[in-house]
Formats: sequence, C-alpha cells, structure tokens
Amino acid sequence: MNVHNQIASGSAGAAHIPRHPTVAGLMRQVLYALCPGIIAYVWFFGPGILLQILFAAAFALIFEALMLAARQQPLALFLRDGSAVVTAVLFALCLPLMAPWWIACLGMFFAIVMAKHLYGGLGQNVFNPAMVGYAVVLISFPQALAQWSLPIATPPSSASSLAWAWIAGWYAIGGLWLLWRRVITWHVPLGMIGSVVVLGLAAYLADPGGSPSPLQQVFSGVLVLGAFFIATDPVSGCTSTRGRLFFGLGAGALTLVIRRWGAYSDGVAFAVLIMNMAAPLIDRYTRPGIHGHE
Amino acid sequence: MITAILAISVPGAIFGFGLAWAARKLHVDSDPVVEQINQLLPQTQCGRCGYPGCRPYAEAIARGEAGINQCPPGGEAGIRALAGLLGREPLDLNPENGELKPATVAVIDEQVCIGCTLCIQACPVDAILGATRQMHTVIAAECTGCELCLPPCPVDCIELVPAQPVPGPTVSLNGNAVDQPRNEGELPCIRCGDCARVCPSVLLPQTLQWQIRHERYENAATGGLNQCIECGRCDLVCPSHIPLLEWFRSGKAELRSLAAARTQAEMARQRFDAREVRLTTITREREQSMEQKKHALLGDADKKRNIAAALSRVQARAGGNRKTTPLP
Repeated sequence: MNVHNQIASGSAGAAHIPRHPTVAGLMRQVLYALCPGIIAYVWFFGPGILLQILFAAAFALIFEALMLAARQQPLALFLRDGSAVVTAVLFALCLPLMAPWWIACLGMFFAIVMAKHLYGGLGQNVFNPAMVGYAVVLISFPQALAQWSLPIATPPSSASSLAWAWIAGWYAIGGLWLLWRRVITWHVPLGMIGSVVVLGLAAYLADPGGSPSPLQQVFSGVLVLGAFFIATDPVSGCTSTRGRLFFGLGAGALTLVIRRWGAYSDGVAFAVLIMNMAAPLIDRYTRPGIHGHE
Repeated sequence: MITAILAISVPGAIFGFGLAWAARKLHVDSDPVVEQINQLLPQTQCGRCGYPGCRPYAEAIARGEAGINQCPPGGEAGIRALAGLLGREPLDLNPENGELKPATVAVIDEQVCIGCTLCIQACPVDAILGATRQMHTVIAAECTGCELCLPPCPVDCIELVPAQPVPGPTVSLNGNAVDQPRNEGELPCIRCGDCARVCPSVLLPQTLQWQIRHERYENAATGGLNQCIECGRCDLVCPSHIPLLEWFRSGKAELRSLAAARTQAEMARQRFDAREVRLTTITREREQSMEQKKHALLGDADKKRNIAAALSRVQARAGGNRKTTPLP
C-alpha cells in the first residue's frame, strides 16, 4: 500500500504529519495568491486583463497538451498539475493591457514548447518559462508591448504610477499569504526587494536628480510581482536557502542595472533569466553543511 | 645597446632558472595517468585485453596503443569511467576481447585434482593454495574469475561458478522493486526545496535523488548520502510524491557494493604486484646463478689452456728434439 495514498486518504498516519502536499495544490495556492493583485488590476484598468489571462491560459494548455502528446507523457496527470496555467497568468500580468491576442499565442509557444518541454518538461526547465516567453515577445515586438493604458478608475490619485503602486501592494499581500502558507520562503523576495532598496537608495543619494527614489523603484514595473511570484519559481531558481537569498539579491541588483543603463524600461524578466543561468553555480557553492559532519 | 642585451638576457635567465626550478620541484616519478587508469580497471588481471594484467593495459592506454573498450570484466561502467577520465567518447566493448559476463569465481574439484601446481603458477593474483602432489583449492574471496587457470589444468577439474553478489536492500516501503522506486501519480521534482527544509541531517534530498537516478553514486556520497538517517520526512513533504527514501536506500546499497568491489580490486592489485615482484626476483636470481656457473666453467677452460701453453714453452726450451704430444 502506498504510504502517500494512505496519508492522503486519512486512513493512516500520525497527527503530527501534515496532509501530503501536491504540485497541483502548490500551483493552486499561487493562483489564489495572485487574485488580490488581479482584482486590483481590474479595478484600475478594467476587465481587459482577464481576457489576456484567458487567452494566455488557453494557449498554454493547448501547447502543453500537444507537447505532452508528442512526448508520450500521461496527459491527465501533467495537465492537472497547473504549472502551465501559472506560467500563463504570470506572462499575461507582464503584458500591456492592449497587447494583441497573437502576442499571448507566441509568448506561450516559446514559454511552454521551447523553454519547458524541449528541456524535458515539468521540473527540467533551466529558464523561467513565463519570462522566456515575455523576453521573446518584448524583443521581437517592442511596439506592441509599449502600449500601456491609462487607468480608468479613479484611484486616490489619478496618476498612472500610483495605480501600479496599488496593484504592486496587492501582489505583495498575496505574496505574504504564500509565505505564511510556506509555499515560498522569504529568501528570494527579501533578497530581491532588499537589494533594490539598498542599491536604489545608494543611487538616489549619489544622484538625486537622475535616479528615481528607492520607493519608486520598488513599486514600479513588475518588481513586486517578480520578487514574490516569478523569481520564486523553484524549478529555475536556487535550491538551498542561502542560495535563494543570493538569487534574490542578484536578481534585484540586475533589475536596477538594466533599468538604469538598459534599453528596456523594466529589467525584471532579463534579471531573472540571467540569474537562472547562475543558479546551478550558486547552488554548488551554497550547499549546506551536513549536520554533525562539516 | 646595453639595455637591449639586458632586456633579452635578464628575462631569459629568470625564465631559465624558473624552468629549471619547476622541472625539479614538479618532477613526477611515474606517469600519474597510468595510476589513475589502473584505479579504474577491475584488477581481474585476466589478460583478455591482450596485455598481461591490468597495469600493463593501463600503461598501453596511457601510451595511446590500446583502446578503452578492451576490458570485458570492467563492463560498460568501466568504459564510461575511462572515457570520463581521458575525455574520450565511450565506445562499445570490443567483441575481440570477450563479452560481458556476470562475475564468477573458480572452484577446484578436489576429488579430481592431481596436485600438478600448473594452475597455481597460472593464477595472476595468488588465489590458489596447494603444493606438489597435494590437493589445491581456490580462496574464493581472492579469486577474480580471470579464467587463466582453466587451460593449464591437465584433468579439467576447475570450473567457474557465479560470484556471490553483495547483499542489497531488502526493505521497500511500498513493495515496489527497489532499483526503480516509483509512486503512483509521481511527478518530476520541481525543486521546491521542502525536502531540504525538513531534513534533520541538513542534506539536499532532491540533489541526492538526482545523483542516484543518474548513477552518480560518488557525488551522492560527497553530498552526504551515507549521513541520511532514513527518517522519511522528505518523502512525506514532497509535492511530487517522489519515493525519496527508497531512492536513498537503493543508493546506499549501491555505494556499499561499490565499496566492496573497490576493496576487492585493491586487494587483487596488491597481490598481482607482489607476484610480479616475486617472479622478477626469481628470474633475476636464476640468471645470476647461471652466470656464476658459466664463469666457473670458463675459468676451468682458461686454466687448462694456460697449462698447455706452459708445457709447450717448456718443451720448446728443452730443445725440441724430443717429440711429445701436448696434454689435451
């Protein structure tokens, strides 16, 4: 008899052993945690984002199913794990509201087919699939991805950046819930936001006219979304807890560098992809000492 | 002018002394590659590679004369290890050198043995015990299964039996075969790191699991596989339902049998080397005694010739009218 099935069905196991987690359960909690941010998005910019999410999720599931069939993997088992939907939602939340539908199709093709399944599917991808898809469409179609809309609702202040700051705040609340649920650990978000605050403050003090304040740095773009939901992707990130801290610190610093000197307005996607490349090396040097041995 | 001469000669002198120093400081007595290759060979000393033992084969590989695919007892794992060490492509075993076979040991039928000692002389690792016209027997723990004792035996009383395998794990949590543990509805590892968080020995269970899956047992040992206390907490928190504990058990068993095989190979290597030393010593001593005997004989001939020469001189002085035949 399978011990997991026993525990899952409640027929065996002690009271101190928690209910066995599943990959699908983890992905579902990530989606729940994104809800406050998405609701805030709809509040400020209208329900268009829901359409983008719907498109992206549909394309993601189609590509996932096609690739699973081509690779002769069990369809139901892997479609139900929910990882493709999380990829799609994160990708859609990075897109401008008015991006054409084929952007989602192309982005999901590169995310699911190229970045995920050609590397071996779930758990094998070197790069964060959502960020690969986003980087491809951002580099290929800069025009289509520069059409940022103005908020329709009347926020406490009508400035566009303030609407984004509010949405970032709601993402952060969802992220804190994930922390509380122990779906993610504090290392990546703290490292990423911490390095943006510290380095951003240093840059601001050195050149108050030229650089935005650290507060602006944190609450602009998709930094908060990236810190809690994108850089915390376990597959393409670091494994050890110390390594995760370094991963976050590096991603935050690279985001600032790309924002300051890069050609693109936001550097989160590229920062995460670059840190994905460094993750195995970081893991190698941050392996924890074996208890009682080292 | 002076500057130009100095500019050439001073660095030249510095580099020259540096090279001389380095040549002395970094001098290596024997080729370290040969040692490394020899470490990877199974030390069966069977000679199936075409060389008289594992070390000669290792030397031939190092010289580039022999391929890495000539060792049947080493098997595919051995070829892979050699390919990894030498940075070459792993090849299939050369069929001319034999085929892959499970490990065997020789057994002498003591009822039939006539005590001729031919197998004792053939054994490359001194694993056969006996004396002239006394019964011989094979020390099973020291036999490498090289088959070299089979052809010399005049009464065909030696046969090969399967070697006793190293005992593997017998416990399995879910009753699956332990070498391929798998749970129902198991997904690939998503590297969430929950297993590392709950591990009381502060190991990285997911990394260990990959290393065992890909048969990188040495790496798993470096990562602390033997320090796993088999509490199974990683198993319980894994969202992908990977039977981590069973992977660790099979990995540990694999490490155990690898260590046993390595000890056995090392012992065989030492015995082979000792036998080589003994054989060279015997040959040298025999040659020396032959040389002495030859000298002794030659000395006699010289003496006779000297006596004959002296006699002929005496006769010549005596006048030469007396005819005598010289002594033989």
